[in-house]
Amino acid sequence: MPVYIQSAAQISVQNPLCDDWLTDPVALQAPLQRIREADYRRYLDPIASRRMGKILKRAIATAVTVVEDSGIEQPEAIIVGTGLGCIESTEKFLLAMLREGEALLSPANFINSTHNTISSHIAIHLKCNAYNSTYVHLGISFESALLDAFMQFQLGRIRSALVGAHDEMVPLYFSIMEKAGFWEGKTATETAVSFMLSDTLTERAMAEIREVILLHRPSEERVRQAIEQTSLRLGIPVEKWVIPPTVKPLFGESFTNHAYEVYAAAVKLQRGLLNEHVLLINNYRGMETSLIFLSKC
Amino acid sequence: MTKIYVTGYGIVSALGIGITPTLEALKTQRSGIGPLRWLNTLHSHLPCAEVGYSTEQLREIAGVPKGPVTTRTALMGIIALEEALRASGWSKGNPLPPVLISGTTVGGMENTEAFFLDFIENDSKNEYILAHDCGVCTQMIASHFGKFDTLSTLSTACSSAANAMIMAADMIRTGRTDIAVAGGSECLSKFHLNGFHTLKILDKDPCRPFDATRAGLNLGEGAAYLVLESEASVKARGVTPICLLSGYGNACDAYHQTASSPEGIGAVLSMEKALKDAGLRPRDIDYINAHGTGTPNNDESEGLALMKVFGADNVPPVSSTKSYTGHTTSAAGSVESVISILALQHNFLPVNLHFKYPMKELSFLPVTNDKPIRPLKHVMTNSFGFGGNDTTTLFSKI
Repeated sequence: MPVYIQSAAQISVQNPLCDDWLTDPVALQAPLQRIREADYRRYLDPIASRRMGKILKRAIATAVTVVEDSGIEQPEAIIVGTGLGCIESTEKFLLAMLREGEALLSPANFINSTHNTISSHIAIHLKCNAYNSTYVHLGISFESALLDAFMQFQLGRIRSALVGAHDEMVPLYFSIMEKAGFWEGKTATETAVSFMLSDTLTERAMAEIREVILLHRPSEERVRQAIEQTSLRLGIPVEKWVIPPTVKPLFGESFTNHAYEVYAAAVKLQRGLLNEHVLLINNYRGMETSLIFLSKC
Repeated sequence: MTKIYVTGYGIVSALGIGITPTLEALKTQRSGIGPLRWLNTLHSHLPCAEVGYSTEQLREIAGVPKGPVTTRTALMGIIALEEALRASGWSKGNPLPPVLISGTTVGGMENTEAFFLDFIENDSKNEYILAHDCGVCTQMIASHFGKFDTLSTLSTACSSAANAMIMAADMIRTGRTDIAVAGGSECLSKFHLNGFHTLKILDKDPCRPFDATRAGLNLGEGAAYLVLESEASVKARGVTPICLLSGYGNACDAYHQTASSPEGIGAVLSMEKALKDAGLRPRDIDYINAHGTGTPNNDESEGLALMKVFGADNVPPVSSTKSYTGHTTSAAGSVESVISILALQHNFLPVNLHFKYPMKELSFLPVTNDKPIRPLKHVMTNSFGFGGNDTTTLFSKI
């Protein structure tokens, strides 16, 4: 069963919910640049909006955008990848507990602290009882979610899926991670990307997902072997896969920034700015590697 | 559809370390719930189901050398995973199953909460900073054994381990691997205890699932892993499988972040999907290990969902073993899968402890007699998480 990216939406340090970054990119500001927020009033009423952290508002806005763009109102799966989940709520609850003690805590920040808060809020917003899951595996959290969706299609269980990548970064947690040597001079940003996948080739389909592979501490040989085996199975010569330049200079880094690579590749494939077959390789600190194979529709 | 065999299992909970004490506790109706010993909290009056060893003792049991940070969650995971791998015929020095999928939510929170102010002010515990992450927890567990080819981590709150099993099984069904290990691990933390406390869903007494007087849950901790394998791999390796993972389903309640819909929409859907996936009818199910947290909301909602799926007069024997292990949160899916498999293997019904007063909303009573009316062939396990992440798994005799 083919799997197409029907629509994709991003909120990032670039202008939100559009493709302005292609022609009119915003320069990154090191070391931490938070997201350029969209206008969420179009997506959420003020009461709901007040109760939600920024990461949830961004998730709803990108999810609703791909629902509207694709016309798929009830996706048959909602799957999210997030490195740290709702770290702002987690940090607030933790700090209140440590500084003010255990006696007078309120539940709001705890309720919003679990990683799966994001996918469940999307489900509640769309009133969608479908398959729902959340992956939290460092720099390949998003690709884990994408692999899950891809397998659901392969097994014939679903015909559409909403896949998201969401991370937020707050100044305190940024500085703590900095102390542990995490950022290494990279520009830290946040992530909010949603994709609507479906098995139907429509006029607006952006790209076809051909395969998703996750590898733990692979040798160069293991990566080469995985690419060769996939190429053979898909009947596409190895040399046809083009690895596009990274869009990290435009979107920065978070645990799930690789979703911007997929988003940008899909946009470029649709506009004929990339060749027929694209291979996206994410090597996360030598620990986890993902391979995503895309083709033009 | 590719059959998925269970060829190994391992478990750590308040009932003890390993399959043997777990089975003994279930058969003799010994609960692991009691006063806290290790977790330092203001709410020490709340009973919990702690694993009976300090983190240092767990490190010794796991055989993890002192030095690099290894969290309590990872240590329990290592112990349970080693038991599962050995049961499947693996021994040190041999190739590992290529895939490990693990579920957790707290990750390294027990250190983060102990040292967070230190991270900000003193910088003397900075080696714990990056150990906070859920994915790092899976890496810590994996690296104790050697080289897995693929790792990933699920976090769907209290259904994390169940969804990890689904991910691993789907990787077998799609031909990505022949053999995979999946489950979850989660330790108690002040963060979680306080979080659940603010929600006012912790009972001051040992929990009473499906009882009219139930007043909340008791938190637990633990880890459990299953080795899942295709038929071809079982034959090629010449191992004797324990049972089949015959079906599974996942659905979302899409109702509220921390409460279940009154009629248990997500629960109904996940059970129906699992039955359909296994090609079984409701009347084929011989025992249900309920999510059964003991909160007023869950047990009513899940009970009504059971009546809807099975028919009010035909609900199979149901019990919640959270009255033994406490609610092991992210690990519950695999902890209770192992318990369900033990029931299947040894042909008994785990008794629902502390049940006295029937719930007027439900047509059935939980299990109080461990003798099954008919031999167990198919058992069901429910795992429901915050966010309405509902997952059901089915295990069947071969």
